Amino acid sequence: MIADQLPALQIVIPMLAAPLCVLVKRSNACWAIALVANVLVVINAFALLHQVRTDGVIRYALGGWAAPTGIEYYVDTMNAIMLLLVSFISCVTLVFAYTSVKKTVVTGKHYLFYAAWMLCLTGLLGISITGDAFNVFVFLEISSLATYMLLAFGSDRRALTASFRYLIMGSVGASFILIGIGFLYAATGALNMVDLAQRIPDAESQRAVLVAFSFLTIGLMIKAAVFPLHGWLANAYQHAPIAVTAFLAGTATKVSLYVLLRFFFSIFGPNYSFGAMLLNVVLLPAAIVGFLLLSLVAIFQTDLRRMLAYSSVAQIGYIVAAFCLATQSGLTAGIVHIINHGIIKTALFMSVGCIIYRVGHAHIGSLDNLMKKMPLTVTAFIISGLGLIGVPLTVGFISKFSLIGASLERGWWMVGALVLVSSLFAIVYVGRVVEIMVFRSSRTDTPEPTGMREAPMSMLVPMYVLIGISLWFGISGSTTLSVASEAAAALLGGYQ
Amino acid sequence: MSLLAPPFLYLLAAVLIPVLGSRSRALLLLLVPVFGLISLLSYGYGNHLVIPMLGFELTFVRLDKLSQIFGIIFSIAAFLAAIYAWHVDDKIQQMATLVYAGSAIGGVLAGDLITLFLYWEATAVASVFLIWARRTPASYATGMRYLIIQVLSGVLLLAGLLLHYNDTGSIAFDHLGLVSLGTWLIFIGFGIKCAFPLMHNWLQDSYPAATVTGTVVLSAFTTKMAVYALARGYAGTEILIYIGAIMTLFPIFFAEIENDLRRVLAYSLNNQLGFMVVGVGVGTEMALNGTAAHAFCHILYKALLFMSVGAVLYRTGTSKASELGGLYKTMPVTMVCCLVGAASISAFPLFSGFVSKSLILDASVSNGYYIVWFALVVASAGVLSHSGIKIPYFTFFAHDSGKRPAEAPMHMRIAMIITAVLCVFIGVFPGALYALLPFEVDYKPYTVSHVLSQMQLLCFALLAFVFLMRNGLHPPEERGVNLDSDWVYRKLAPGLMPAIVNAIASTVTSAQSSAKDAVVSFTRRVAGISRPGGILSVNWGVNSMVLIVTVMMLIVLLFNFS
Amino acid sequence: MTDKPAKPIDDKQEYTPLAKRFLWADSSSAVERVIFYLSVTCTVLFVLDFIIHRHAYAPGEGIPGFYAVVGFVAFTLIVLGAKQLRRVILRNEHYYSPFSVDAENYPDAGLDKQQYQSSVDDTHDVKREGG
Repeated sequence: MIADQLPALQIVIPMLAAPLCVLVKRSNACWAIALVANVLVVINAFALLHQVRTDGVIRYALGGWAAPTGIEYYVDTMNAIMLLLVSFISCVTLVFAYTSVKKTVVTGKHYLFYAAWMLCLTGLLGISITGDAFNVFVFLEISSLATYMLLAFGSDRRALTASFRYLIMGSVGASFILIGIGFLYAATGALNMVDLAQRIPDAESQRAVLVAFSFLTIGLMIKAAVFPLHGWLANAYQHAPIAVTAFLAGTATKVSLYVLLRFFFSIFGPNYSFGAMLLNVVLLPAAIVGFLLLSLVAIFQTDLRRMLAYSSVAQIGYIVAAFCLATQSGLTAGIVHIINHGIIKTALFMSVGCIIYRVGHAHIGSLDNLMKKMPLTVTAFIISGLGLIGVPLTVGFISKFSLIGASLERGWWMVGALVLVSSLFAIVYVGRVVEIMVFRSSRTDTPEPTGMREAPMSMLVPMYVLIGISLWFGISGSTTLSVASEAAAALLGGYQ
Repeated sequence: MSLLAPPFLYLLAAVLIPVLGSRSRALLLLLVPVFGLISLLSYGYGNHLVIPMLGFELTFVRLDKLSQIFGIIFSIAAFLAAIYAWHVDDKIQQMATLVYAGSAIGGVLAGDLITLFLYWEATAVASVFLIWARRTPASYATGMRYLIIQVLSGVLLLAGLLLHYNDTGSIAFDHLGLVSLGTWLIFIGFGIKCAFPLMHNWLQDSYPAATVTGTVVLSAFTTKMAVYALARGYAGTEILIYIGAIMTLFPIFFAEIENDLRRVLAYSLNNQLGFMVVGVGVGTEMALNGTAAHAFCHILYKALLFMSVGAVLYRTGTSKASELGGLYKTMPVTMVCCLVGAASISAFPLFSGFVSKSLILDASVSNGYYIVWFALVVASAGVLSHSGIKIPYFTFFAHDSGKRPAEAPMHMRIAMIITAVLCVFIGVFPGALYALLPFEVDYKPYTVSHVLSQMQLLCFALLAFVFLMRNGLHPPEERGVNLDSDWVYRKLAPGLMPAIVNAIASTVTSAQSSAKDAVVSFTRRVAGISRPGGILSVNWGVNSMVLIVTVMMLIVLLFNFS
Repeated sequence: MTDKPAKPIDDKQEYTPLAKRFLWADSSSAVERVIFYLSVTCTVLFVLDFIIHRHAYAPGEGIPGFYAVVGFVAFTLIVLGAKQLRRVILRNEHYYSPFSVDAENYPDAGLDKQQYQSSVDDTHDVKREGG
């Protein structure tokens, strides 16, 4: 039955698509292969989510080798959401990439670009689906290596240094995670997550577990770009090809956040992570300072991509703060924001992609009166920008509302208040750009660049698909909230 | 059917704006309020459109007599503004107007706090575009200040409603009262939009910065939605009486010396809100009737005054009293309409202000608030001074500025004439208005003693004006900026900021350089002298990032092992 | 202002009938007459207070001339008080610039400045000016 093999297919399809791209080599054909593979993956992820929600947790022994020996894929609502989110965003950005890649990536290298994209997708999906701690590391490396490559495709020469910095930081993070997993294995003799979760309570007192916990904390914080370990992010997002930025902004950090959830809630358990280990003391201040400070930093940026990158770090701060509440509603808020922010930030970067495609740069000060020339793009930016602020009827509001509600429920009203303060900053950084694009008339002394018109349909359509979804999720928040709350329950319930 | 509920109708129409041609857009703006009003009146009293959202049952249309009268006047205001703005060919302004008016109507129809909040924020976001649409750097800055304050109000409302929900488990928007932190926060959120003293200056700051037509639209909705919200949630809260009394008094002085006539009107708007807030504070049936009636009349005559000053601005390019004068010769229709507005706001008998303001005054005196009542009487004389005399006198009469602008365009004249007729109609036939009020009205405004006392007050105030002008005691119109409490965040804080920033910056720089030194020596010591001068030293970024990782690791270990 | 009309031609016949009805405002004798009527009205109102019994709710309200005195005194004090206030808070128009609209002109794009037809020389056949 194919339905039983869904977990494996989720990984195998993109993994096979990558070498196929290399073999085919023709740009358009590669794109088509990648897209077909990606569409299949989306359908697969959707089927998985449905299956999990109706029949409960899926445990799939890869190659028929049972758990302790072989690698097990473990799918509950939480990772089913991640699988769907990652594959869907990848799919939409891949459509978007078609035109922009032609312009930015050197002709003749396109097949490598799409192959790397597929590998990156494989890695991200693998991290999300696997139930084996060491396997997480393996997939992490696959996705990271592919990401370094994707970043370096940027036409900007600085893309190389940005990619290199990311490589260093990514490797540091990955090594920390590897060391953490190694210590855990030393302490418990297990790599399977379910086994780990069972054995850690007995080994809690061991130094090795403590060290493992610490290494994992830092490693995951780097990977998820939690303040103050976010340094690699802004450069990477700014100089990468914009389609890659859109793809990564919606997926890469979110997957790392998922791993963080998996380790601290499913494996170590909330009582250990937030009780015995005082994770709050490190993570919560980092998250709060992060969302306050970086929202502020975003206000002063001159490059649109950089502004959005810093805003991403701030939004990650919201998510981490929500996790730190360690309650059902807190986790729900965090997971909802993972979904919502993934969607709106991807849409935002897509609109920036459209701007760059036509204008040639994303320097905020020179985008005056863009509304006249690219109304659809600017409208898309405004709608998703409102989502970023958290204006009612957008997804951002659902996130903000549930996060504040959760923090009040926990009694941490200061967190809620600070979230509100930071959303005021968001108004300024979004409002400033909108005002320039909509109201500031073109300076007369600069000649009108020729060919200033609306972005091509192949870019607009995927962008508006995301915006449509974000509006739908914003207006009927119950769809995402109920799924997220199931996922939160699954995480807090531990492994069955 | 549900899509045709008033708030949704406006939002739906706003979506249509981008695809319509210039004239059809103006027509749409005109038709939507009409159909909105019909749709509103077709609902029976009670809760409609209860939609599950965000895990709550949200009530989008809660119709009773209180929300109905506000819904009606908002529809009328939107209609009049649409006539007045017939010439505007700016999709952004038109869209903003529709969303803004629709959200304001949605706000007064909201049956629960979350729905209220949704519209509360929507009015803030939509209305700022009417300011930005002026398209100057100054209007951008002003709009941003306005937006931040408006959203802050929404944020307080949100925080308050969440706390309130945590306390009571209810999101119903009924009487709240000042009983908990949550309800206090909601109260302050309402208060900001209602321009309470010291929270008021967004109003005077932003309304003169909007477009000619934008100000007319702005004047109708935001503050009156807040008045409605106060009347719904905090009727009978005594502190409101005193807040309202202060609100009626202090703007008078500012209005008196302000040069920009649109800002004079903004101060005057603030003063009129004071009367309504007093009514809410007194909270009896008669007082609430007074508040609703006064809001109704006020929206009309204030729109009329903003329209006439706007028409002058439209024709001459300025709304500063010092630059105007003698315009009656060539803009007589605008002048007459302005006089009607001035008479209405000053509450001359036979004009609308007379039949509504007296409800509030009588309610306050019959409940024993004598000092407050006296303040309101004094404020009434003050209203005459800045809105009744200053606006028409210095614009259309006084010294001749030499300007001979053409009469306002036809559509503006039509809008002003309709509004003026409504003001007089209400003044002459108050029964029509009284029938709409939330409670049974048993009140006769035209009694001998009432007319007599009001006429005495106004005529002697006029006499005082003549006396002051003759003796050269009346302050001349002067160009300039008058400071208000917004000076604190517009001048003081930015003024102090460089000092603070410098102090922080110098600390940070010195800390940074010493930290850098420490890193260098630290790495040297650890790695030895033979450290390759490789990539790490070239790229300070990576260097520092790794340092941060190390520091964070230390912190984590420290906490975990303690 | 930058766009003062060249020379206002006050040909009173050119004004609309409505405007003509207000031309007295420019004549000082007519203004004197209006002030005289106002004074008479005030006197009558004041005297009426002694004849007609007003309903009084607040203490003092019933005293004849209460509203007259309050109206006059309140108005005077407000104006004089405001004048003193101005000495404290009046600043140059550019005080907040460039962040406030006080010092800037309203952009012409949003206006339709027109001169009254007769105020421009007939030889100078321009209906719209300034815009």
